[in-house]
Amino acid sequence: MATTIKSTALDFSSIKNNLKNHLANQTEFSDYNFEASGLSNILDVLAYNTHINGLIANFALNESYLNTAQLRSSAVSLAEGIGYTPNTDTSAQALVRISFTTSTTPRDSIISLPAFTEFTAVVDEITYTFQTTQSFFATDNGSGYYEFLTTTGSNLIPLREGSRKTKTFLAGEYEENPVYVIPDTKLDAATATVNIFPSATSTDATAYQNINNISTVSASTTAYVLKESPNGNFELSFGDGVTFGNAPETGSRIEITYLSTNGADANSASTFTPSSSLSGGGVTTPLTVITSSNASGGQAKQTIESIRKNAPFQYVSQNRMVTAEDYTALIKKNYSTFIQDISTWGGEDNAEPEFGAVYVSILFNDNVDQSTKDSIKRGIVDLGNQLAIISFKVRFVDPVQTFIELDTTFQFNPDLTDKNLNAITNQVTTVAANYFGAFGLFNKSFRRSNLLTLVDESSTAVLSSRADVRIQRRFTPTAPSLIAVINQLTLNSLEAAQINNVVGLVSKRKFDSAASFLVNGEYTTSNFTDVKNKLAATASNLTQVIEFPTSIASPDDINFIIRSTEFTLNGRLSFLRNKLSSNAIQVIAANGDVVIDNVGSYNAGTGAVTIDFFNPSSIAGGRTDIKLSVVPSNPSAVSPIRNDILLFDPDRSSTTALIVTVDN
Amino acid sequence: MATNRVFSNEDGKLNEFTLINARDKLYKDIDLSFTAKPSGEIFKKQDAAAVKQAVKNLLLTNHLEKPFEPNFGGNLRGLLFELADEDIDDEIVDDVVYAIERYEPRARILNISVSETADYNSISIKIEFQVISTEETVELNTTLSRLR
Repeated sequence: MATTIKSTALDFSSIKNNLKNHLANQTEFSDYNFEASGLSNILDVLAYNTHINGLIANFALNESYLNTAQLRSSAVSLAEGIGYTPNTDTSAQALVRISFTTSTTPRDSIISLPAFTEFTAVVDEITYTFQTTQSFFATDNGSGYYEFLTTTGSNLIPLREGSRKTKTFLAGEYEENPVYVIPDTKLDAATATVNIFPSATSTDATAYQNINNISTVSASTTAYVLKESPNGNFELSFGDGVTFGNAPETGSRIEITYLSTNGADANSASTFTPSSSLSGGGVTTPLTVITSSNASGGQAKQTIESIRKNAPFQYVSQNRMVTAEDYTALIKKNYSTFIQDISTWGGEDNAEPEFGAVYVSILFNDNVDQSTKDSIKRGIVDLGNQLAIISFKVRFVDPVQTFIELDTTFQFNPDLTDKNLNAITNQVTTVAANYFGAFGLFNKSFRRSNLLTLVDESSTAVLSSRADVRIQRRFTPTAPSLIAVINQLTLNSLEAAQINNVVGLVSKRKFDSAASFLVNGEYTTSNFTDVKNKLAATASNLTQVIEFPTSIASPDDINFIIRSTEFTLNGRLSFLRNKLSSNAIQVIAANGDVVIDNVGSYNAGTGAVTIDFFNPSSIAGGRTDIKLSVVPSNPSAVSPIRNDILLFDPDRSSTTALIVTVDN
Repeated sequence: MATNRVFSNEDGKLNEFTLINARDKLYKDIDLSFTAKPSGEIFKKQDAAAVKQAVKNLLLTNHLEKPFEPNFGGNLRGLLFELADEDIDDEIVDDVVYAIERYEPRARILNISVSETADYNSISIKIEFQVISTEETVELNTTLSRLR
């Protein structure tokens, strides 16, 4: 019999057993099975050696590929190989308004707030330092009030958490093309500024750019490379001066300034206290700080799993924003600390195509406020300007929530379980809720068969199940633009009931009556014609189109396809419903009377529901929006598109058990 | 000698395995002294000598020395700094019995005697055991003493 030593085993005992099997084929020695024998000791040595070599080979191979690397240093290095720089620690950022008032004279009319002005904030009884990372300027309003503004004119000043660190190196001191080591694992690369001074004592610096932020490199490009080293610190390097960017000349001084940050620990900081008074421009004065948005976005270094997931996408995008996927990859790369999920698509894929535009829908983390969202959106547009090869318009659209309503019915045999009807019903309800637990992100499809499989498997007493599916959108039956116009005309002097009166008249296209009410009541100073024209101009916005992500079932002569939650209209509790065998939508009172015969319609093919403006006095349940539910044409699967997000509405769902006694 | 017996396919091709007759069992181990014969081959230890070498090897091995077998060995060195009182003999006997019963199934212990010569910082152990297959009685003497 041919002797084979299996070489695939890595486990010590497997290797040793292989050797024993090999020895079993000879008669020279026989004591290999006795642990105390000399032969066994020799087998130990051989097996141990093979085991260690096998493990080393296995580790080495694992660490050679991004998908299997276990060490962070390997993942970082492999990611760099495909042009991906993993995110460093990210400092928390807050937006504040900073101002002061002074009566000192003489004083400068423009006073600057220097970069790295420090503020402190406390989170969980730990004090963190926040800083400005650039200079801001304030102009005297004439009475000694100064408010600092950004270069774009915004009064929201960003503060970033961290302590300022500066490292200075002399170029060419040791060897050519050196790598400058920054022994700090908490460096926030986004805050790093690199300046090159021509001599050791010079004060005239050239600012270098991070190579990740530029799209072309030549011999003269003033760019630096800042990357994580295998031990978690950072390394700064420059071009070679030939093809890959400018190299600092021998004798020049290299200064890198950055924030060493505490990452996520400083998130939610809300009160910022200046560490010292502002002194300059002829004044010494305390600063007034008003928080516009709490600190957020602080995060630890990118995890290995995140690197594994994002690096290949970044490689595909080649750091250029061309396809919609490129936008996803690069926005995620730059703003991952703020973003829960993102969906991007070309404008040509819209229901009404818009060529030359990229649509971006971002699901922000819960702790990101509006100011930060706006700031990120501006940043994305800037990023597009830097990295887009072709000029695209970037359009932001908010995620739209579409809810799933389920009426689940299941057959239940009480003889097959110890649990009672209520317990099993609750169990099935929980299964449905759990199924939707992973939803809330883009591109998550609902598939009824998957859910029903889970329901059937939830208990042996559940014999079969079915589910009626409806999809729901929510809308607010108000006309914000109309109300804004009314408030503008009347300088906000009207009460809610009076506004409703005007809104009601306009919605019925009675512009003369509405204008008369405002002019004759002396609620406005504008003349009748102006008022009438302005009100009429808003009338086109009074119709709402609610676009469902899927087509809607065709009208039926037995079942209603569309139905809404209740609201009070003209003093009667009512709801929206389509007419049987018709696309028209009616307002129906609780007793079945038709309140408004035709308040809109729906297009089964496109999934669009058009609702003319109506003005309910209140909405049931104290809500401000109406839930409009429709039966989809294909209730088996609902796939969200573009910026749709599917969620579950347990309040509009039900679970019903049918007791049966058969057990098959 | 090993005997090859042929079995049918219906019986699971047992003929592929070598059945060893208990009467034929011969212990053959490598001589750990690695002394070479004139021909260049190393010597073998057989039967009782093989078992005796194994027992000695076992007793002089300490815990955690053998890879992936942390409890293997007599662990006598573990007693190195113990007091030389009257309990030390019992501890040594317990360790030896445990090690041989667990790791050397070829030997049946007949007697163990431990004698201390405290003045010379030395302990002598005499183990009398029987090789189970041949019922041959073997005596192993080993002495633990300080080197310097």
